[in-house]
Amino acid sequence: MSLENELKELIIKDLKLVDITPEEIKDDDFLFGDEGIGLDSLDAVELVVLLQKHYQVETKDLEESREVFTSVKTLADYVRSKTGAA
Amino acid sequence: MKASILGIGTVTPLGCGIETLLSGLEGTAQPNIVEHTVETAKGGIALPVYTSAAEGLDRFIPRNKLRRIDRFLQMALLSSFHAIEDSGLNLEDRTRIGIVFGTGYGPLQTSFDFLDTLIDDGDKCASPTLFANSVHNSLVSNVSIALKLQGPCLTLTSFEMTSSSVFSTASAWLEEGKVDYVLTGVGDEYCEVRGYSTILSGSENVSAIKPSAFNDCTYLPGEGFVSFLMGKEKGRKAYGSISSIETGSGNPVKPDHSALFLAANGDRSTGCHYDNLQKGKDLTRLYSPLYGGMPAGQGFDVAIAALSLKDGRLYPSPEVSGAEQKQAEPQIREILHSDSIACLQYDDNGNFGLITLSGKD
Repeated sequence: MSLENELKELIIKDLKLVDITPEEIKDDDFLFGDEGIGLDSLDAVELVVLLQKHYQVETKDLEESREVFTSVKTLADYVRSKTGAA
Repeated sequence: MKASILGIGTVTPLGCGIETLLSGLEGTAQPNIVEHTVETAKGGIALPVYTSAAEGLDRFIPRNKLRRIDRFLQMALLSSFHAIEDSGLNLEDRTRIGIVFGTGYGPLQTSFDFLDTLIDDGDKCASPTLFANSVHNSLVSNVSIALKLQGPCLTLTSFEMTSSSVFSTASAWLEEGKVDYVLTGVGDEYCEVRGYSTILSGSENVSAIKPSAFNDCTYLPGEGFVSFLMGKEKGRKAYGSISSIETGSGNPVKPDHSALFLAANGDRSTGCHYDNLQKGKDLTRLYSPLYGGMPAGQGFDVAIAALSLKDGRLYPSPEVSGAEQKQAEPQIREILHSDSIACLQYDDNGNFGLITLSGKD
């Protein structure tokens, strides 16, 4: 499974999203806001925990986090840059 | 003190809404009892649990908004929506509506889920959502947000004294003119740790709550939530009033000619205190076989008392429950000759809370 698909499954499971499947999330869909899948600020905190828990990747810089949390693709790229994952 | 009950909402093992509670009282419906397997050092032990579900909450809150709301909060929310709906009142000034909720144990499952993330993943990876929902007061906060109630809000936790504390506080707020209405509610939920604790307390092999066998251990855990909209005015659908609340230890003084509802639930540590009471047998009722054992059980008796006063009828105590439950048979309702009903709950130290409802203004 690609890292992008793995992240989509984790996001749905850990953030308890309903009425959406991994297949319905495109890699470059916005994660936050009405144009994307509609995550909110509390979800952002859960995403920080998700990255730490599953990939041992920390996100401490606020500005950096804004970019990292843009989409599944930016999340996956960030995890790869920190862990060397494929 | 005359705080009227204007609306009632219930989520119980009988279902959601007061009609389901009435069906249970009339013997035409039985509580939902689910057998859980509790893992112990001796292996898995079967435990019947009085189980509730907040079915129909998506009529009030969209499904996608429910994802962070745990079962306990769902039960509280649904009973709250039902209580306000049942009152038939158009509550325009929501800044004058307070909330007082109570629970013996709080959101147990969420609390233990949070602790699991803390133990398994460390403090850096403990879930912030689980933490937020594990705080007892998140109950009233979420209800306040969902129902747009902007008055003062408070959550009380006092085990078996929870219901008397809640009604006492709500009545005081109304008496002081702090608010025009108070949404009150009490409830508890089941979780595996509670099941384990129940088995340790001696409920192994118990198949039915026998609340009048005061010296036997027949406790089985229950869960649910019951909410009341209370106000000073006598509303169109008022169920009667809270006429007095007494707390203390030993034997309470029950108002003359009152029916007496005992929140005994098969827990031997509290049962002995009920056993010492002078009871007028024909006016004493025990309803825990409808909702199961829980610290907040007295609140469910208050709902039954309110329904009884409104209907002018005293419903029979359910005789059996659990695996021994019979097929539903319509039961004859007795005419309630008394105009007041006292609801009594003891804790294991012999402290009591006595909530008396009156049918008169």
